[in-house]
Amino acid sequence: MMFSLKRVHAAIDGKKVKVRAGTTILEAARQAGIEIPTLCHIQDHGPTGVCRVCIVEVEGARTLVGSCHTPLAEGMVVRTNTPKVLSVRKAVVELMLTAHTGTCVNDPNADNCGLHNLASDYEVGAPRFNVITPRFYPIEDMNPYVRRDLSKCILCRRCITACREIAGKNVLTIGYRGFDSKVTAGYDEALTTDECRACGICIEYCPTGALSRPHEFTGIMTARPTKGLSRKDQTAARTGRALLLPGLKRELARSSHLSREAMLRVAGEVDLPLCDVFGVSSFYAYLPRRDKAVNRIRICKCVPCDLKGAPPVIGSLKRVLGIAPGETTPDGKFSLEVVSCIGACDQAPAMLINDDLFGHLSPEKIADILKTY
Amino acid sequence: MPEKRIVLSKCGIVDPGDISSYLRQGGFKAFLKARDELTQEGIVDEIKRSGLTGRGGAGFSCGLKWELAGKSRSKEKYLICNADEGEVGTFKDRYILMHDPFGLIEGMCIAGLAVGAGVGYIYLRAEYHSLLELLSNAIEQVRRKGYLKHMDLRVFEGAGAYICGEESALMNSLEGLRGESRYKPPFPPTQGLWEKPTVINNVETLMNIPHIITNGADWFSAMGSPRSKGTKVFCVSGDVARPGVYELLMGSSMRELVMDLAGAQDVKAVQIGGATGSILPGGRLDISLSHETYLGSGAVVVFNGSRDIIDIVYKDMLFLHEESCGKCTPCRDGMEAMVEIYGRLINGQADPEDIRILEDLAQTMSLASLCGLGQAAPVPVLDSLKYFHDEYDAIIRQSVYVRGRASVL
Ligand SMILES: Cc1cc2nc3c(=O)[nH]c(=O)nc-3n(C[C@H](O)[C@H](O)[C@H](O)COP(=O)(O)O)c2cc1C
Ligand code: FES
Repeated sequence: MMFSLKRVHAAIDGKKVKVRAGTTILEAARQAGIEIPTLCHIQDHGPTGVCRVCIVEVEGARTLVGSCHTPLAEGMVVRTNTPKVLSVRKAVVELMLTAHTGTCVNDPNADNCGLHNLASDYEVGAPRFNVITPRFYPIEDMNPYVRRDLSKCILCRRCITACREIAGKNVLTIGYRGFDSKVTAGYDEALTTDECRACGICIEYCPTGALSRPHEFTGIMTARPTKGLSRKDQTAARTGRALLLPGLKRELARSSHLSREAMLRVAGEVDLPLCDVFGVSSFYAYLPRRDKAVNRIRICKCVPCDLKGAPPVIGSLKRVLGIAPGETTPDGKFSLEVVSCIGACDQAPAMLINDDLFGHLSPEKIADILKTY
Repeated sequence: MPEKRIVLSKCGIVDPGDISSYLRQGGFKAFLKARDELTQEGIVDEIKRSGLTGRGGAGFSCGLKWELAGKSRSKEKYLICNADEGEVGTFKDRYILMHDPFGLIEGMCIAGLAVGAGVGYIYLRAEYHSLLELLSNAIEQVRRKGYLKHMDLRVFEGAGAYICGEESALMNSLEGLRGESRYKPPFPPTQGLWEKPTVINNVETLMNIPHIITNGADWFSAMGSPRSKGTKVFCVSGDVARPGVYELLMGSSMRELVMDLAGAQDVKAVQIGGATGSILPGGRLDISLSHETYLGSGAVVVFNGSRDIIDIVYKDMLFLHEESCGKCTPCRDGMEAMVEIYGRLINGQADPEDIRILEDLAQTMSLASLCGLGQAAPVPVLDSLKYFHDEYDAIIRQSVYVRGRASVL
């Protein structure tokens, strides 16, 4: 952030405020003695902006805005506790409670949980929402330094920021996508790395009970904040990173799926830790990690194809191949995936086999098409 | 009004593999005019005055974006063509890339001059990999003609993620980060790719540029409606006799598009703008199509009388659930809760209270989500509740829960 001598004037909850240009709404409110709750934010570090409990109302804005990342602008009229803000904030907390499996009812440490406290402050009670399967993971305590109970994780990413920006390490990242997102290490492995020895900074920053110190831990933490990268190193890192996706694609062309070894090779080429390579590649649907099929069948299931008879065509594919979506034939010749819109809705129902597009499908055509591979 | 082909005027006429056929059709005259006769500000001014708006969904003024980035004195600026086209029911960019890649490249060449971008990227979705060679070949031919001396133009391929069509997620993806949305501000023209000023435009937006430079801003702004100038390429699919792309003047009527051109009959509803698009009942076909009313990416999916609206909304939600990047709570966990409710609705296990919860969830997602995906995801939910409430009532009346209670009473 550039330092600026310019000042901006605004109103927060009716109070007139004057702050340095570039100051966030959250910071300005705090300076004025107005508290806005946060979960993902770490004071004095760049905003993450993911938890959304810090939302406030800004006059003229189409949506509520995240106060931790939105700079206060000249003349802004901000309200931090209108009925709308409170009800939406409450619903966001409810969603977090619903989505994780952490049971804190009998947990003596529940008072230390940022989510639990927020839920009591906002009188959330039993969440109205349900999820199909809450995120659940077995407890990991293989590592002598950090115990992970990711069922209690609310994906606020504070541990990742702490690991990178405060400890100056690169052990953690976010892996997968959407509801499956998870804080991962390495190739989504248990946290066994030696780098965590005498650190545990992430534990300090976890707002819930997801990260804690193992009972027998007696060491002291010695990790020190590290210096940032020099400008030259930043440019090098940037160039390396930009080669990551092309590098993964190259590996894929060679071996049809991305094994741990393949990712390690790419990690070496682009000079990134394995966790980063895994985090990026597990985000995308077209970078398979497990199945080793020669030919990948991707059939669209979205509304336009669905209307035009995708379900019976998928049925026919299953019959002819003898596999279910997500599987590979025993001879490794075909894999079958049911995917999002492939942009061939005018030829619905449509599918891709590798890069070849087949439109106007019907169940009868499947066997003949597959014969050509 | 029949079709009005401007953006698509060279599709099917030029050979996409041979620049000389494009040149014979007057290709690159606009670029030469922009390069040799106009200043950087002159180009921006022409585009601004034309009233051209983004065709990727948001409809922001193209000239304003160019001006913001153009004015920046940063030595490093970028131009990105958004060819991620992941919105359900949208296939116009594929059609354009396949038939007239030179038109797009000419548009980008001009945009590069106007913005002062030294590097340009075409972000191509992985699903369109088969077009990669055609596109690279076209770029190479333009380079050999000497029209790309001012800008290094490259194709960058995605890897299967709808969210990477959202501009900030796209830039993250290009940088080699996870394709997650960023919070805004800052916006790309001030801080985009690698925090440098960046202009991102949709394929169709850029296709308009050479025509505006050749014919002038006044010619362009004379077409369309007050806030929507020029034409729009629509993608019609679903229950129609003639699915495909149709280019119409902005402000044309929905009836004309789906009935007259695409040959729909017995229209129960249409969805405009993909899985996050509005759903309107067949009785409202007389609406015009523009930024003032309904437009989005130009996807129009038609549903006939036999279709179940709740099932359609459920499938939209499944798509968005799968494609949410998972960064922010309302979208990540909200989509899961949404799919849970619809799953029960479809299976006859819903309860009248669920509709209230659905509305609260919709409000939370649209107001608190970080980006356009989560913010717009509830649109089909709220529209279907508004126009097809009877279908929800019926499904709840039949649900296991209510039947169970009725038998107890
Ligand atoms: C979830 C989401 C997906 C999007 N997908 C696309 C897309 O596939 N193509 C596109 O051009 N714009 C897409 N957009 C809009 C872009 O963010 C951006 O507004 C657009 O590329 C700007 O170009 P334009 O001004 O020329 O329309 C998407 C937006 C959102 C929120
Ligand atoms: S504190 Fe602002 S989004 Fe989490």
